Amino acid sequence: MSPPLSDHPPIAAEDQLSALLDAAVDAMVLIDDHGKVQRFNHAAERIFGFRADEVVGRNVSMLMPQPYRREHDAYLERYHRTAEPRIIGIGREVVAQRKDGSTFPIDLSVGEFRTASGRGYVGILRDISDRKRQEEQLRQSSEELRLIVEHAPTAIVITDLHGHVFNANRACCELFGYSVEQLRHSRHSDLLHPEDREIALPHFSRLRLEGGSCECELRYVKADGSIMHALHYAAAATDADGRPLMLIGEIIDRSALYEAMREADDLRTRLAHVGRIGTLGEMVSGIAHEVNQPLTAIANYSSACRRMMLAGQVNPGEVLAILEKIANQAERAGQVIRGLRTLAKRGDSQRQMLDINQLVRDVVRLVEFELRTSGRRLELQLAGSLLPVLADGVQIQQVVLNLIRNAMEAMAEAEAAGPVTIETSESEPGWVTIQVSDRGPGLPPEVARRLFEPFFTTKRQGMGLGLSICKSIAAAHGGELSYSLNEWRGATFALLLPAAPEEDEA
Amino acid sequence: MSTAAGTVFVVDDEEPICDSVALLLRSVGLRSRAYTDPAEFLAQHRPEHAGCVVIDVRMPGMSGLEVQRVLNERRSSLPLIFITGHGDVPMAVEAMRNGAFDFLQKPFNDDDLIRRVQKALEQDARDRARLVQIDETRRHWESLTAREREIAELLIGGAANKAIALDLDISERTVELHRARVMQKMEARSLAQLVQLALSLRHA
Repeated sequence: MSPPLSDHPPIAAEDQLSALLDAAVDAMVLIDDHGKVQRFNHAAERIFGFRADEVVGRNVSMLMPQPYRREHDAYLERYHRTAEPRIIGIGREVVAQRKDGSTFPIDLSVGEFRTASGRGYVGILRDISDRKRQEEQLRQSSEELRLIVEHAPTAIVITDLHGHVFNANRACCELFGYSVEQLRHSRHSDLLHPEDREIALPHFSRLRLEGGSCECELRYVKADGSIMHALHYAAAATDADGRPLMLIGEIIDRSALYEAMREADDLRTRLAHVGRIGTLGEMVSGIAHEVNQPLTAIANYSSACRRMMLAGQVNPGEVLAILEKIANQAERAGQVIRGLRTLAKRGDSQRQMLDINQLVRDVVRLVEFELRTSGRRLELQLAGSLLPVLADGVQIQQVVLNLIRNAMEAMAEAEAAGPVTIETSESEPGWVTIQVSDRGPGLPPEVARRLFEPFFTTKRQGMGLGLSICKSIAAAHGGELSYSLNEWRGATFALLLPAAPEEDEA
Repeated sequence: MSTAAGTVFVVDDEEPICDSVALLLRSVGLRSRAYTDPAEFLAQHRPEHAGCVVIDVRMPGMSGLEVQRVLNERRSSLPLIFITGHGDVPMAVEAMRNGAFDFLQKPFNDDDLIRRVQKALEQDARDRARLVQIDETRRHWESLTAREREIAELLIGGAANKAIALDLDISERTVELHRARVMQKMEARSLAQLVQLALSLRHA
């Protein structure tokens, strides 16, 4: 409880001023109109290193480095003459000098006052070294950042939340073949391949709304019109409250990788084709027979028809029935030819939805003759229903054909009895399996170990590429080809393929 | 059109081939029976079934060559026409060596097949006719008395009536009577024919 002020004797004006000056956080220096220091407060003592008695009565210019020290009297004189304030009521950043001669930046504001004895000036000084240092640091670090971004080897593009580019680094310009000015006039989505804009959109809007970062593979179109496969990393820069401010994106050109992958794919396709042609070569007599059978039947049916007509014993119903048989046989020959053409086909790998059971039946048709002449039997254990598989039908047929022929060969060599079993199943959720099992002697461990190596073979004829091609086809489909001994002590080869992703039921 | 009676047995594991060959044969008035299973054909076939066989050389389970072997074991004279596919020439050669009537390569000309089948049927008919003839001759021979047979053997051996009479110490007139009986029973119009009939019996 402080007593009312009126109860105390009045404090002298002089004491009040001293208390006020010394309580101030900022340094204060009072000078008369000749520049002589009248007052020098505690804060001033602290920042200049002078005691008040070392300064009071001396020219204030002692607190300044050259050339201001020399000029200060002239500044005062000019003001007195022109009454044009250069600093009074304006304030500015100037440099001050400590007792030890070191200088430091200050924020100076000056006020003018008049007393009975004339006029004087009050200077309020704030040491801004820290602020200056911080500013410098900030400037430096932002310059560092700018240099890093500018000279980074990866393309960096900075956009506002709506994708308008406001900066792009040199690598980005070089990558796209646009100048930074051109980029600044575009939006990120303008750079994208039209088909990929849809893909990018949800990523960008999520970043805009929620911040964070994302990564996606996108195709871009360069200035020269070429298409680039790239990996795009983007992150949202946020304000102090975590609200997204802008998007910083990195664009990594993966065209070389894509090209390499495409080349590998191309090579595999070509190798697979060579493999198929080789297999077809081995099967040629069987295939010729398969075509000959229906052709023979057709020739017989048509000659019979002709003879019946020539002999005048025409019964339209019978002729019709014969014509139908002819058509069926032609269709059968056509199927064999189609199967062949499919296998002999060369071209890019084409993925489509496949019914694996149907595929197995198609392949079986091609080996039918070999089976019959070797006196062997195929036992089909096809699953009632199978998930479709997204795959290159020709290549999968090739794998199945190879496995069946290997199985037949293994049994023929060992003169083993019994059928070759082909089983299809969904061995585990999301996977379709084709198993080909023989009742041959199985494989010794040292052979089983090297089975899928290229150029490894136990056959007198053969390059040893069949299974390695099959394995690579399986791998290219995200699947697997494996070998195991089965319950009959024969060999089982299992081709595991991922089921096609389910269609969105939208 | 048919030149000889008899059935064409078509044996091929492929139903369309069986069916179409049978139809082709029917179109020229030939009777046929088709078998897709060679074992079934063998099980049903009887020696008295006249005709010929059209058979695929290559079949699962039992090949055409095996069917031929079984028929040979049964002393069947049924003519076999083999149908061969691409690259089956060695098997065709083997079949011919084992007495096949002929072979045809697939796909074959309808005229070729029909011509061969007709020839095969004719041969079978001839074979069967000869067999019938021989049977008859044998029956005739067996109806001769011991004395008649004795005299017939001598006649075939080229002996004259007088020589036989001397040989058997009987009158030439008696020899002539026996000789007339032999010729009548054997249904031979001349000595030459009698010799031929006797030879056919000896070679049967």
